Amino acid sequence: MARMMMLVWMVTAAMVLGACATKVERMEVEEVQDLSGQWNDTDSRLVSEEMIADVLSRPWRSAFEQQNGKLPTVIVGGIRNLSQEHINVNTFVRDMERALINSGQVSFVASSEERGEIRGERMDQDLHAREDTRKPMGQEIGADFMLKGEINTIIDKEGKRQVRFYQVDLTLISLADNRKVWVGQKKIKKFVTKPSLRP
Amino acid sequence: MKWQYRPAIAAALLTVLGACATYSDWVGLMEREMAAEKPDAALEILDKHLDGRRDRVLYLLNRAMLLRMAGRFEDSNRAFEMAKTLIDQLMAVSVSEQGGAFTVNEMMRSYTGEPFERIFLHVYAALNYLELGRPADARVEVLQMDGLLNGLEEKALPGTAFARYLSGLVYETLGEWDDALIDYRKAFQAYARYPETFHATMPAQLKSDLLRLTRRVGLTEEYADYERRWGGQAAPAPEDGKARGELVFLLHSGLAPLKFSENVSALTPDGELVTLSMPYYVPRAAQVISARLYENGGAAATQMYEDVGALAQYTLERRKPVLLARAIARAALKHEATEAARKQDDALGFIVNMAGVLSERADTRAWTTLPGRILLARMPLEPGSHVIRVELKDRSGKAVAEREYAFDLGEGDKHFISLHWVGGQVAAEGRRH
Repeated sequence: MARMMMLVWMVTAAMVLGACATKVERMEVEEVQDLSGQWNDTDSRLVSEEMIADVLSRPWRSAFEQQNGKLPTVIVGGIRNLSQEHINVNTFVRDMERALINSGQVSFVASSEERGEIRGERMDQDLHAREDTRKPMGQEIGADFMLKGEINTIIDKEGKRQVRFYQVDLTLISLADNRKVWVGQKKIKKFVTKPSLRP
Repeated sequence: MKWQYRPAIAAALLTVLGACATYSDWVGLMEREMAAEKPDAALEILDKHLDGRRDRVLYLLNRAMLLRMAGRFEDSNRAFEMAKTLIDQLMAVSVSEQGGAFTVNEMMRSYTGEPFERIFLHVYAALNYLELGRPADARVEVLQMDGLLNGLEEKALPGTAFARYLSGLVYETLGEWDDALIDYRKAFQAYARYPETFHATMPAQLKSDLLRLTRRVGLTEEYADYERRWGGQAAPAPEDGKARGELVFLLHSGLAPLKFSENVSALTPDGELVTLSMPYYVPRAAQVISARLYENGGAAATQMYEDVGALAQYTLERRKPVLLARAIARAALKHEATEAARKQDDALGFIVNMAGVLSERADTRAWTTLPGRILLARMPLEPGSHVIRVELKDRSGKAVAEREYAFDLGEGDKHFISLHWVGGQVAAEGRRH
């Protein structure tokens, strides 16, 4: 009987303690888990999938290659967030960058924020590095295109219900003559109902 | 104890409770640290004392404000973001808290902030971004705030004109003239609707901003209309050629009013004590009421943009009927409970009655680290390095303190500087009540 009681106690204790521990569940990156209705990883992934498929299938690259006999070089410019949320645009911009570089048909140069550090390092090398390993200045590759874009939202709200509409526009602009050679667009629409009661 | 003393005990309780304030000592200590310009020390006091589950939003708002005063803008915005998420979740009505608020007191509800406090959350988050030099992020706050302000304006509640003015300023910083003009216009309408008690009349700066922007956008008729209206008063609209930069100096003076609980009690003929609690604000006078900016020959003066104290009081007055109705319903419920207990036992009835009276308390929670008033000055400057001297002045025009700011201004840039001046007596003044 005493052993029985002991067992009951142990099971109870295990249950109580189990309820206290942090619970972690691993998820697939593709799995959709919407919590608040705000911009999340799924939206970012949908945008990058759409944009990558589009930018790789359009003729702007081959046209450039035919004309200039070299691969186009792209720089990432500003992506303006005109939405009502603090959205991290780096996630899908980096996705795009990676897909384009790995396709082997486009090369990227460091963006204006990134290159400051590189230039600093080059300046430092000029002073401290061995001559045969020193990288000279003035040898940077000028980009042919700039990737720019913006995110817009329209939110319609009534009581606890709202429709959230996101539109992401990305544009590749030729630095030589301001021509827009590619325009990508992704629209996302969500219907969010907030709870009216909580415990 | 003999039960015939009951009315005497009840009467004694009545006098004690009459002026009951929930203004705790630690708030005074915290405010003294703020007045001494030691926000980090104030933060420590806050962390130690405000830890109630239902006060989480209040804690986050105060924390964000203190972090901002300490110049930790990014941390401050992190706290604001947490507060936003939490408020959003708390907007759903809680069954258990609602029950508590109906039967015990209003403090049983999770704090979600007064409507004007929720606006100021975005105002200060936007200012944090502006001071970090990230106007695009401030724009996000402005858009979020716009939804809230529209909601308030629909209910004819004052939608804090300064919030609209700041929105216009953010758009102007980003070079979005049309949107800037729209919000300046809304600020103009909001100031025009402000009751006289608000002290904040339309700043002359706003008049010249409207003149400048209508001319820039090419709305000649509107420009002519403003010109007719303020021809003499508004300073001639300066050319906003891209080359010139601008300093925007904000002075956040004093502290927002404290909320207290006022009890109205009555003794029924059969010896039952009935108590109703209502909240009221005690405004606090700000020590500094203006500032002057100097730079070799050039000068600018601040103008009053918002009287937070008056705004708080006005909002509460508007909400009073609802609060009173709820207090009466609660008193009726407590009376029922007393009656039921008395039927079982007279002493038990008395205990239930006293428990009901003692637990009756208005919700005295308020975001008190907000300033009492907000002043602003805009000073056009040439691009380059600048050293600006700021003189803070009290009611008599005497300079109380001086500050110096050095910064570099790019072509066409706006540089934002905020100074929080709590002032010496503010904390002490609150304690007297």
